[in-house]
Amino acid sequence: MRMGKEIKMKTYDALSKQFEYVKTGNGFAEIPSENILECTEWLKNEAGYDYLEMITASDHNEKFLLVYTLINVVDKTDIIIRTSVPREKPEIDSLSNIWTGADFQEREIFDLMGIVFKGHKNLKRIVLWDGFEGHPQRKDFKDVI
Amino acid sequence: MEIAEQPFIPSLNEADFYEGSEIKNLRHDSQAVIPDDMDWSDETVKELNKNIILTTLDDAINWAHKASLWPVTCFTACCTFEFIATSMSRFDIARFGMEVLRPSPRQADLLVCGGTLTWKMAPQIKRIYEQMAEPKWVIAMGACAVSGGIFQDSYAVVPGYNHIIPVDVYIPGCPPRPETLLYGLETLRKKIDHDKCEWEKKSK
Repeated sequence: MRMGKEIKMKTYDALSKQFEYVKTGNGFAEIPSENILECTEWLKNEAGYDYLEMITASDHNEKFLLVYTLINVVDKTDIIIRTSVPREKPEIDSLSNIWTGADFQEREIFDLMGIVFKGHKNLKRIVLWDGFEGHPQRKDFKDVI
Repeated sequence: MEIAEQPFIPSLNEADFYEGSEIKNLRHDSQAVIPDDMDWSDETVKELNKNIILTTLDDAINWAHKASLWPVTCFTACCTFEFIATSMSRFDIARFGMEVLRPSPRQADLLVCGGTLTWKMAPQIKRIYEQMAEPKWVIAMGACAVSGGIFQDSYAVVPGYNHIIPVDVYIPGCPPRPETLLYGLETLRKKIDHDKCEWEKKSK
């Protein structure tokens, strides 16, 4: 799964040629959060990266960092895409209309980190119980009993 | 003639929020620990031998209870595997009469609490405990069941089963080895030895 470094490098180069806003280096591609849908659709349809492995998020104090991992099953490579959303308005487009597997992952990120995915059909808590107040994986979460 | 009212069928969202409020209320009500049955150790047991006079009927009934404890399968996390290892051929619990693991709590005596309990699962464990018929016993197995273990400060973990149900025997360990679990079962059997046969047993 992690072989084929040349194919990976070629994909990053093709990606940065296709879209101007992509910044590559350090093994991942960094894009602004408005263009996530366009970029992943191109990767799925043209470049063959049609398996979404994972979406995660982490909290850096002014922004949330989102990481998407896509896998090309035929060439056995994976690429990593990073975006960041500002802390005051954490919204991003949802990938659940293209990949159904993104449904539960985005619900978990909404539950624990509070990032809202626009266009998601059923965005509600999945790990914690409904009625829980707050988003626990943020750095400034305080538990209220 | 009155027309019967439509039954209340909540939508999926309403049912989720109803369940969530039940969990919240349980969390609010279970901040204090349920006190243990009696403060007993090996020394107190020796004293009790002098104070409590058990009849032959008590002896017979206690032997019947302790020699055929049927556990209910109520396993939340990893300590389960040590229980499964104890029930296999190397460390056998069938020699204690416990090889019958009932999936239904109504047919069981013993609740072996193996694993971490989360607040989301807590009302269901309480329901399982309340469905068991008297006499019933509870063993808290492993560090997470005794005190929350390494997850004690978490927003989602109950710090010990004794916030929800009363516990008879605590077995520390992460996970406790099968020999430790068997020592805990032996301790429970010693505890059952001191039960008096009362016609009206006070409910826990």
